[in-house]
Amino acid sequence: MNVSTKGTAENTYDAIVVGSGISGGWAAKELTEKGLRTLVLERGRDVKHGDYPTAMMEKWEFEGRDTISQKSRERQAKQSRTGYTTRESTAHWFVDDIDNPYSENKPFDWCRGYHVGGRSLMWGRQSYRLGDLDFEANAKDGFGVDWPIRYAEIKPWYDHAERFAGISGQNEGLPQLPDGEFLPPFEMNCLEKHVQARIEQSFGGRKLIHARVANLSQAHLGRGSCQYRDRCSRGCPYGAYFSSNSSTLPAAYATGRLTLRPFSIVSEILYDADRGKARGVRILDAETGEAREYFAKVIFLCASAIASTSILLNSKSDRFPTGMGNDSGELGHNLMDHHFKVGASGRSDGFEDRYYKGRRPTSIYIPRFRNLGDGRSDRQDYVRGFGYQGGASRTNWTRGVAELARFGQDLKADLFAPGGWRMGIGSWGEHLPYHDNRIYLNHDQTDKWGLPTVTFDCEFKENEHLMRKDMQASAIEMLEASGLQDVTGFDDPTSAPGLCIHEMGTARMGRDPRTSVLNGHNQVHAVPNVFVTDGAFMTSSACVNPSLTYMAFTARAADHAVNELNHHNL
Amino acid sequence: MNRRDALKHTALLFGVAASPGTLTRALAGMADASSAPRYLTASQYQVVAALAERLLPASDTPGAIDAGVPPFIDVAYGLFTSAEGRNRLRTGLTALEHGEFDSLAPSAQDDLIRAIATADEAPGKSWLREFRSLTFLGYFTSEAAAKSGFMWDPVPGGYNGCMPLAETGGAAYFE
Repeated sequence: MNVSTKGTAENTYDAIVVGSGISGGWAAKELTEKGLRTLVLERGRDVKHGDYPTAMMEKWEFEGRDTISQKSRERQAKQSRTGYTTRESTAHWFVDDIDNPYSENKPFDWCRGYHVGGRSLMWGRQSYRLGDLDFEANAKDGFGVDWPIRYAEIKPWYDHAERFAGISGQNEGLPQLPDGEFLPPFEMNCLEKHVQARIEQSFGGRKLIHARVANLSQAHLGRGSCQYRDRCSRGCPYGAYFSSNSSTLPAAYATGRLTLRPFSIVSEILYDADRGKARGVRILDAETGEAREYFAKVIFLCASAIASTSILLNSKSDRFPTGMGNDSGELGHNLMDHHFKVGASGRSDGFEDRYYKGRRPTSIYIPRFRNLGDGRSDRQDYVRGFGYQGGASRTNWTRGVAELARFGQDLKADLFAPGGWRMGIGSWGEHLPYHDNRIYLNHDQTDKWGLPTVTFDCEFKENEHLMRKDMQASAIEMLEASGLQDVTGFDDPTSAPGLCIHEMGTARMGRDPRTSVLNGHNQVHAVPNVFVTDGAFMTSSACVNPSLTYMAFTARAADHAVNELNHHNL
Repeated sequence: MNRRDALKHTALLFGVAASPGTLTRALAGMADASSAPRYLTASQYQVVAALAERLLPASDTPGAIDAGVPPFIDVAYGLFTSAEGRNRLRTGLTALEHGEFDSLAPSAQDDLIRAIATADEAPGKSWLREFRSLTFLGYFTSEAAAKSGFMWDPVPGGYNGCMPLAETGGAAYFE
């Protein structure tokens, strides 16, 4: 291989960050603000804040009225499995599956975007803290290894992340869902408030709360407040939700210490056997195929769980014949997602003369109420728990499609008016860390750059299946107790891991280098100047949306890295 | 028959020639609807236009043709529908083409639609459901619908979770 190592000095930085999504953006901001000259390597194209081609388009400006084209069905067959990601308004944020293949021993939906900002542009924005119920879970029930950290140690970093990102929500004093530093919450509508009161009356201690979201209910740190268009995942020209593009990368640029190189596919981390540390990374230029090397004192892997672990697996040396940091044999293992697509919905006869203005970008949340360790809420049939997201609205014109015998002027006039109220809640459940749920590199199928691809071998198991029964039954029970009519449950049995787009694990943190890949500061046990701070580090999945946790752990790891550099320990 | 006469003739068949204003609107719409389809055949396209307009006819708000539903269905058929969906749509349109649906009087068209709505064999109720789905999508996401029957509020700027429906005059917001 012809590797350009010309100008080592000009290819040398204090820190290298691989990836520019939620975690990479945070690493870039924290490291540059703490004085490090930082190179961010992003495999895809550059996207500057505001460079969102569909952000202001109306439905009628899309040829297919914002549905999925045949071209996307062909080129983005796996990305289309969600049913929504590859609509015309957002298809350009998701990869081409033919150019970026992967293999599935069992179905796994790997949905991702290769561009600056990564999935921070399209994420769901739900932002919840893990608490000690989560950090202690593995140690208590024996699934997985113990988290090397407890809530008190990460709490200040959650505070730090929330203050900068701007999370709208409300403190509730729940031990299973720690309070935070919130902007005012987004208002609930009539039916949501009604159901909230009925659930809290009927189920002692159970709560229906404002969703906690990285959408700005008021202007924050130079970014504008939400305009209630609900077009977030196209990119927000107002900067009214947190993304790398709108938030962390501008902060990093402002230091004058950020260099961002798009079209840079990191193929491996370079190991310096004499020093027992990483010395840099090798990249392939995605446009020219040229190999280059970059050097730094610390390396932050923030490429997303699967990609960061793939880079480690591909970083082989005499010291690490099966991949950098894989002394434990756990690298690639303990892959998790959340399981969802289960819940219930029903209609309400009330509030006929009430309506709402504005398209709120969020919803309500019902925090976990099972297995809280209080005896009363504990289940015999499964461990861990689940929460619900949901909301109420009036039905729209689609209600008229199935009324086959009705057509003409009257039907048309009816469909211009809002239909009846409905409320639905869907559940997100914890996925246990199982050693045999894993990824590995597939050297038989290489991509267009000649790099090995990824094979997934992952499934939901008995604990998840048993939990789902309760997820649906509890949803029906709560909506019926709220006085809704025609309550029906749902449970999509075809929902495979990955569909939730919360890939976690594969380079887990732990206390013992013999059973884990990373230590409590996200450092590879045996290569302490390599930090992994995306979803790969997760030791368990909890049941809440994970991105806020990546922000907090990334900021904490960056602080540790700079302290260690200052003490000449790295 | 020249093109304008053809349009007028077709518009009359749709029963939309009630007033000069309606006719003008219908002709304007027909001009779009009659511009050459890109994916459907010309006669399939006539069936699409006639059926869509009977489902959602012009009234005090625009009809399907004025709202640009036929060109939308043409593009959806050509570039968006799955291969199976395309085959199903074509099969039903061919049957209606052979029945000269677009030449029937409006009342006869309505009778035929009611018959399809209860029929099991193609083009029966499942076909009609798919066609309605496309027609309603094309209509209720159109600029014409947004700016006539709906409240169009592209940048609401704020939120009120519980206001009197009367504040919109009973109309839904365009989504």
